[in-house]
Amino acid sequence: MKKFFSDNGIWILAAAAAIAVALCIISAVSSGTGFLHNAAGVVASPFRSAGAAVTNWVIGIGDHFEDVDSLQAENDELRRQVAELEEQLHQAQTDKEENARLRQLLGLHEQHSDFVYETALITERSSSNWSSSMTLNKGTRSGVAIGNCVVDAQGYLVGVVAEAGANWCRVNSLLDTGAQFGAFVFRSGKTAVTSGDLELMNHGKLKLIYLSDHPDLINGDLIVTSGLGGFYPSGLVIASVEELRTDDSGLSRYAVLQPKTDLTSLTEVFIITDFNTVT
Amino acid sequence: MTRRAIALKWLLYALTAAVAVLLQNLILTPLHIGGIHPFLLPAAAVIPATREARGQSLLFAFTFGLLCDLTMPASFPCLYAAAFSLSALLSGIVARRLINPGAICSVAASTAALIVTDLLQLLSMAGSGTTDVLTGLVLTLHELAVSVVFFFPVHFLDYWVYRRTLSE
Repeated sequence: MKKFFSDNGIWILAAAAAIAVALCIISAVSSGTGFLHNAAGVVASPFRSAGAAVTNWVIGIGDHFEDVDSLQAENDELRRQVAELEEQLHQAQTDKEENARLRQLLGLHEQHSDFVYETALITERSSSNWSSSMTLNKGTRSGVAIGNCVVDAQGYLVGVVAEAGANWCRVNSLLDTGAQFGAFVFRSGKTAVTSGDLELMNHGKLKLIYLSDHPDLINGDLIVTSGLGGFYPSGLVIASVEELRTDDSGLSRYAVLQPKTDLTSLTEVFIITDFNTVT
Repeated sequence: MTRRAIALKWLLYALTAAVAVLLQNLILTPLHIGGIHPFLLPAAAVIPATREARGQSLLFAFTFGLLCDLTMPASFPCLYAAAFSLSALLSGIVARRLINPGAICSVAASTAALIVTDLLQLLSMAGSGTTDVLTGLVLTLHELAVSVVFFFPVHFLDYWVYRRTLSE
């Protein structure tokens, strides 16, 4: 056996290289998720689910041993917040009635009532520092398709489906260098594009590019999806502005954004499988 | 060494690689050190190449890389298969000509593998304009700094397999 490998090592290497090149070509020419990727994803899916269950169990044990004092302080804080929220609820009831009247006047639909959601669990997070992605436990069998937007429980944008297998899909988070979204500044209505950046990604941030010469931006400005082009729904909250910077060339400016969603603590997300396009 | 013994040996190496994958996904990926988490998979792929026959270890690294390509995102198809195969070849040369097989050699081989993987990734991303070279190089060094200490457990696991299968 050893002799076989020493005599034929170069041929094994050549065969391996040929297989690698063939797979590269197949992956490059095929659109969507290839058969091998799909099959590997289906096989790996139960292991990912088991891994996620173990991780959540370990995190659960850690939570169980939370410091009692911090829980007491949190309880006091929550009581105070409940009192505030009760007051706000009363105000919100009045606002809601007024909002309904105004909607009726403008002929607008309820916000996002056209969205069709598919609930999914995160079964794996990317182990590479060069990308920011996660694998979910729903796929084409549940109506998930490449390009679907993914949001968290608050409706904040998490990312976009980049690959979809039968019972799994891979989501590029909004921090990933391959993820770009048409966006606008909620306050001023000015359009721009959010884009992942390798340097900012590992600090949990992204950037807003293609700004005008005099961008009307202030810290805390909310950035939402524009929906232009019809690829993604409009009005999904992406991030808030943190600071304005000039790029290395000194010719253009970009804004550093802090995502509204907390990607590190997410366990469950919602895939938007259908929506009405902006006309 | 009989065919059965060789098969058993590579099965054990595959199990150590599986342990490294579990360690990576369950413990290291959520562990952020300055925004970066340690990356063990190149070490799991190439450390056997420092002691074992060139052809066998090349096939192991290629297969492991291919599995990584099929289950993990990468900047281009077959990134890990190409990077791990090339690194296994390099590791064999390092172990035969520069550093005797051992912990230092394993760390050197793993370092080379991590750098090769990152450089291929960087070339692809810089080529497509999604990042600049300097940012990528800084990330490579940062990743190496946080990963290097975790190469030792993989070395000791693989060394255990080597000792365990040496007598057969």
